[in-house]
Amino acid sequence: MNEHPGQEQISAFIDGEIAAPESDQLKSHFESCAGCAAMKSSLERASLALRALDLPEPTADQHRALRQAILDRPAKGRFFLARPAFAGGLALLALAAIAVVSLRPEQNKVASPTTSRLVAGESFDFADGSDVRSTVSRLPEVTGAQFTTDDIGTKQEGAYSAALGPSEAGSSGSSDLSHKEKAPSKSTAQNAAPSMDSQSNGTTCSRKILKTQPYPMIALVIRPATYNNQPARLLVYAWTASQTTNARLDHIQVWLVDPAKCAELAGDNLVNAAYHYSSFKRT
Amino acid sequence: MQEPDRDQDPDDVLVRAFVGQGDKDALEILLLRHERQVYGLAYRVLGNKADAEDAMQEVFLNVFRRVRTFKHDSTFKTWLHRLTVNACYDLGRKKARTPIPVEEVATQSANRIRSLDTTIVIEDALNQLSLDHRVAVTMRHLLDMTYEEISAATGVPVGTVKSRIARGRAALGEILGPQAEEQRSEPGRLREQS
Repeated sequence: MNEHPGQEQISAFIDGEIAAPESDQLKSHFESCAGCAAMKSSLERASLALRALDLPEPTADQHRALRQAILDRPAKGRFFLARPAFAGGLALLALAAIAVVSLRPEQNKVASPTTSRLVAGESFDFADGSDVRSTVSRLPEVTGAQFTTDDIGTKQEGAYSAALGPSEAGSSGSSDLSHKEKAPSKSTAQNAAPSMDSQSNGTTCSRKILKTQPYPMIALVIRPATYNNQPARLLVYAWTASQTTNARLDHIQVWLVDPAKCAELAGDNLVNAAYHYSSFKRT
Repeated sequence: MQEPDRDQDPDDVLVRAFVGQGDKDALEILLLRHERQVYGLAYRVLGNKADAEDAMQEVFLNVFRRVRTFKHDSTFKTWLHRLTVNACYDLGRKKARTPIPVEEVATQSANRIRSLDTTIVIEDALNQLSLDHRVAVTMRHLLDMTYEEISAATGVPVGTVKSRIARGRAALGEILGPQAEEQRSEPGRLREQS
């Protein structure tokens, strides 16, 4: 072999993709050419390093989810898959379903919450996205908070405005977040919560589901609630970790927040306004 | 209840059973048989669990929807690889436009802490390659596919596969540098750590 082989040829030689007699010629060339032998060694090192990686296997949960998505749903799934409108509707639902309900404070002065509970990572066997309403209706059982039964509205992703009720006057004393260390990190809270821009009168908020939301969000619910007989605002964020099976909820976050501190419900403000935070993952 | 010996049935037989008789057991066997390769390939190409899971579900949803159009002019496995590559490209493109999910940021931070683990370094290096190169080297090194098979799965000529593997490898060699050298001198180390 008179000419030096190229990188592609050397790489193919390493993979055994070059047949004799050309492979024999290359072998001889490497013995006599230090430069090509060095290139071969370098490519071989990269190959060796790659072979150190394993091929990850799906976990039992992932297998179950796959099985559920593919095998357990065909009877219903034929309906689901055969009707683009239905599938499209689910996709829209996955982008955002939003309910905003006015909160009428029970009293003018809102006392500082004296009890708080931040709980993360609880398990909850909740309903799928197409039936998020039933899941949300069961949250009182799980959180122990008193919720009203206002409807959950839906809205497509994008900016929207909604009346959140009159501004709540009163104390904005600090929440007693005795387990604050369990609160989600700033970045988590900011990403979990849609942005919210408070209007000047404090009564109308413009909300926009972040397009950067890591997972398709299925529902954001804001509704009146009470917590330890104090007015509270309930926020529910529910989303799926899957971009393809939007109908399956994986995560639900429930925030019970002090209405007096709701002007900016994002990031640290959301954490600081929380009487109660729960994070549920599918059991 | 599926019969035990059906596990030995070739892919084509199972595909025909599902297409012809709507045999869900056949589909389940196919799923069990191939989910690891589909997930593993997607994980290595996309670099994280959530995307790999999405890709795997997308692939098998496509199998479910499109298996009737499978012409049997390639093996089912090759067709599945092609669906996997397509799903990875789709997700990879979306990911390029989407910020990294917070949970992954946390994971990556944790990974940084463990940066002494050579496996993580290699994973990081692999993730720095272009999608084309990552697909090619992953198929070659982790699935032990030939250039012909990779060509069939990716829909590009063998010459392109050859070029992508060579360039991907060269880029990895540059990124890894001394780590690759260390790995070469301590071949048992990575397996112990992984």
